[in-house]
Amino acid sequence: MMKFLSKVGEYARDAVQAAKYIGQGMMVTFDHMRRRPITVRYPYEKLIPSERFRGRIHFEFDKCISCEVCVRVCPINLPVVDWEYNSEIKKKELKSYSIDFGVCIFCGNCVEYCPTNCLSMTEEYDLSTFDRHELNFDNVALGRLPTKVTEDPLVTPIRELAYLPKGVLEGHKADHRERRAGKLPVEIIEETQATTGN
Amino acid sequence: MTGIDLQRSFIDLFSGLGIDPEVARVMWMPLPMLAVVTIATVGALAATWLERKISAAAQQRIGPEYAGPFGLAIPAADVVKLLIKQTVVPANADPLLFVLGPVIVFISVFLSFLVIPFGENLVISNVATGIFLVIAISSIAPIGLLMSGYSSNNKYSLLGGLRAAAQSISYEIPLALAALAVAMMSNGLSTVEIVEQQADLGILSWNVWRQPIGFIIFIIAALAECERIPFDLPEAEEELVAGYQTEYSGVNFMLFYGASYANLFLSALLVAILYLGGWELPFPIDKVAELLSIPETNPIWQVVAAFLGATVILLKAFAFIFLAILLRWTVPRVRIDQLLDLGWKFLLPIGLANLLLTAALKLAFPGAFGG
Amino acid sequence: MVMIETKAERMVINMGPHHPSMHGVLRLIVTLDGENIVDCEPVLGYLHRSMEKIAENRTIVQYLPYVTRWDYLATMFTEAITVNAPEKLADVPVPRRASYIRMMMLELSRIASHLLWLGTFIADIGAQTPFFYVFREREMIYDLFEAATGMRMMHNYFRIGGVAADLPYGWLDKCEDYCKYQLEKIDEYERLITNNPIFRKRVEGVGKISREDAINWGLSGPMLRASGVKWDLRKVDHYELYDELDWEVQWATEGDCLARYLVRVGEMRQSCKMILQAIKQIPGGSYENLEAQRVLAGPKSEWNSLDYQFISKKPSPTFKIPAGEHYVRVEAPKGELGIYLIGENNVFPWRWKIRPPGFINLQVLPQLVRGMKIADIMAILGSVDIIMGEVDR
Repeated sequence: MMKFLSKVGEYARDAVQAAKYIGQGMMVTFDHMRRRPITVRYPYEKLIPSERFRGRIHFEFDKCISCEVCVRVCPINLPVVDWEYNSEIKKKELKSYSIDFGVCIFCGNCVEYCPTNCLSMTEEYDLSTFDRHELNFDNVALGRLPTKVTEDPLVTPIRELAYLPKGVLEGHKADHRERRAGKLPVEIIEETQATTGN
Repeated sequence: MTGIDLQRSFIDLFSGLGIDPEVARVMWMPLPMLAVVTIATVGALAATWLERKISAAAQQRIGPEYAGPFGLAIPAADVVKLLIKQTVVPANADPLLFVLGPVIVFISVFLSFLVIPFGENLVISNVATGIFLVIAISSIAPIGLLMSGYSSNNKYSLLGGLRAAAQSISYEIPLALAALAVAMMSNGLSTVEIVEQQADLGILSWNVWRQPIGFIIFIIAALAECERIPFDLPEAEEELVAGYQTEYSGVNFMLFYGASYANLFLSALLVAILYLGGWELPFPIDKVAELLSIPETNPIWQVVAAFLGATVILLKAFAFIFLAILLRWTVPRVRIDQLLDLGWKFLLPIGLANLLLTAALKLAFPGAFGG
Repeated sequence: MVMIETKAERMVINMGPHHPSMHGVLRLIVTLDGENIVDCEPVLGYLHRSMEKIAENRTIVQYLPYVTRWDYLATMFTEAITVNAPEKLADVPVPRRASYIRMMMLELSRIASHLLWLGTFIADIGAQTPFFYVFREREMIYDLFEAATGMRMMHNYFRIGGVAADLPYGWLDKCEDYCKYQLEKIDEYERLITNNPIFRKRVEGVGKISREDAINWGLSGPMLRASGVKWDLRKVDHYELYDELDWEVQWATEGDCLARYLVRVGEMRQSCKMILQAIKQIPGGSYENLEAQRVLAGPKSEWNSLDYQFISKKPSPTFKIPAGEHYVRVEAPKGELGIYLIGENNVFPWRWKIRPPGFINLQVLPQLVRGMKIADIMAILGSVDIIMGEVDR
């Protein structure tokens, strides 16, 4: 009889324990109901791509010296560099340059190794088209200026974590006038000079 | 308290217009049916909207936002979308059983709304076997689930159907035992009687205080009957893709989907009726009427009281739905053996003990326990 | 006594490659006896992309963008091992600052990987909500990655001899913010999950691996540590500068799914603490400070010495892998990620063998699920933490 009763007691204790921990879990989910949703409503709100963001590649036709480093560092030798040797000026003359963004993986190797910096990454990432061949950008298309999230009047730009003020962890909560975390080198120099007195 | 009698008023109205009372009665007949389908459907649709919104809030999302104000039109959008979708019957499925399955599930759930009272006279049919009828009808549903699981000719569906059957059978019993204890106290199975017996002292006379164990058993078993997390094994997405509804699409799927939420709504209403005093307000409304010296027969007062009662029972039901939804988005799913263990080794003995305890208390304190 | 024969015909069920909880394209051929698993046979290769063969005709610079596609949830580790292998073979020095940046990136990546694992693991056993919570935090890590590397997942950040670029302005401040926030959130996850009775019932004692079995099967990472082996390559191999940080190896002795869960959660905490320490200890401090000091102290100062660089020397596109062969490994979130590299003084490696932790850990699955219930497949598979990208390569 005692054994039975102790078993019942154990059962009851387990049940109370279970209810307690389920209640604790429900408090967590319940508490989230009063927090602000973190959803970025995409077409109306957009995150501002970072400064180093590797979006669509921009190409400066006149700077290119047709060295083809971009082709050699590209994982699949994607850029098409069409040049001709001009014997009069003893230089390679670029005729056309194209990158197919349907194939490009935006690794940024070409930009990193370009000796004349004629390639650069833009913050354009929405490259969808109705026809994949439209993604094959020639040097004219590559030379277009990128569209910016911050300049689109239909879009509320939201900052990413790394560009928020110190202590703010959510883009919606940050005041857009507040400066991002970190000091400028100039300010650090001024501070150190002020403290050391020279 | 006599309350309002809609049927009588309706027939009187049409008799007044010179129509034969018998004809008026025939004209009245489809109206309750329409009402029951409307109430169940609206309740289920509201539950789907709540599910989306509450899960979104618990997960720091927004949820449906652009379909109507606060996404309120999203259930309608769901229905329209499912209605215009093609209904695919798999090539090797049994077409008759495949279509019959969801229909049986749907009908069995919607039929139970017949005995759900929203007020003393706001009930379609106040049958003497009320609560028993609900339990009897709702145990037809697993047949439909098994049917659809078996006829889909899909192994996931079959497993889901079998799980549904096993689960329903296991949890019918504790559910019935818990309801039985309440019926024992109320000296009747009629849903209206059960509520009226909780009316005297407002919130203090609700069954939840006299039947706390039964209340918990009923809630757990009701969640299991509704196949919701933590007991949604028949349609466990991570294990069985979608269980018995894997092969369903379009209208057939909508029947399952609607039935599952209508079932949730039904369970919530049952919890409200059996344990939370149904349409009774937390304070006795008759006393208020006496205080304000309004005669009970005052038609305006009757309408107000009926309206208040219906609101209160819906509030209670949706409080339970809120709890069920929040629970769904908090806890993981139990395993099949643990589910059966819980049903047979925990809820069943406790349910029996609760029944015996109620009987003992009823003999010992006939005043408090409905002697 | 007459026994009633209740044995039903066994059912062979094909889970995957398209199944909600098969983590990509794993396929399991499961033989069922009712709800019990009689046998389970994994079928691999649906995501095979010849990653090893591709490496044999790519220079390291060209190959680096590919490697983040092995284990696409712990991307920094694949990059780390890809640059470590030729680095070690060619004896390229890595500046201390670069090493610290690498450690921070690796630990952030570890947190990201464990977070996603946590979400899918809990989702596999039925609770969907933590999935959204971990994504909220993982998004922050990816924001940090995007600011430093330019991409959220496919970073292409590590280079032979260092990293591609120094950290951006204010990055360390925000990283510190994040780590402190993450520590709080881990407590919150634990409140939601760890003691939940249903969760406990689903994972406690499920998928038990003994210490001997774990070693014999060649398991690594949290799978091994949860079985009572205190083996962490960061301590064992002393690579990068992990010795300069104060941290502890997370391990448990039970060897079940719960132990693996606890080990991983503990590792997330440790990683946060490691990053916080690294932020304090990184040579030169934040990039803005480094620049200011360089300006203040003039061009010939110590601030321009090797230790304060983010890369020792920018690798040329024609970097030659010296002749020789060796095996390099790092402690990835899933376990030991290794490369067996054979060079022949050519720009291309002669052989590039990848030892993916997920692949080795996955082989233990059939033994673990045999005799369990069908729902345990998901709990066990979830606790193994596989990414099909690295299993099939």
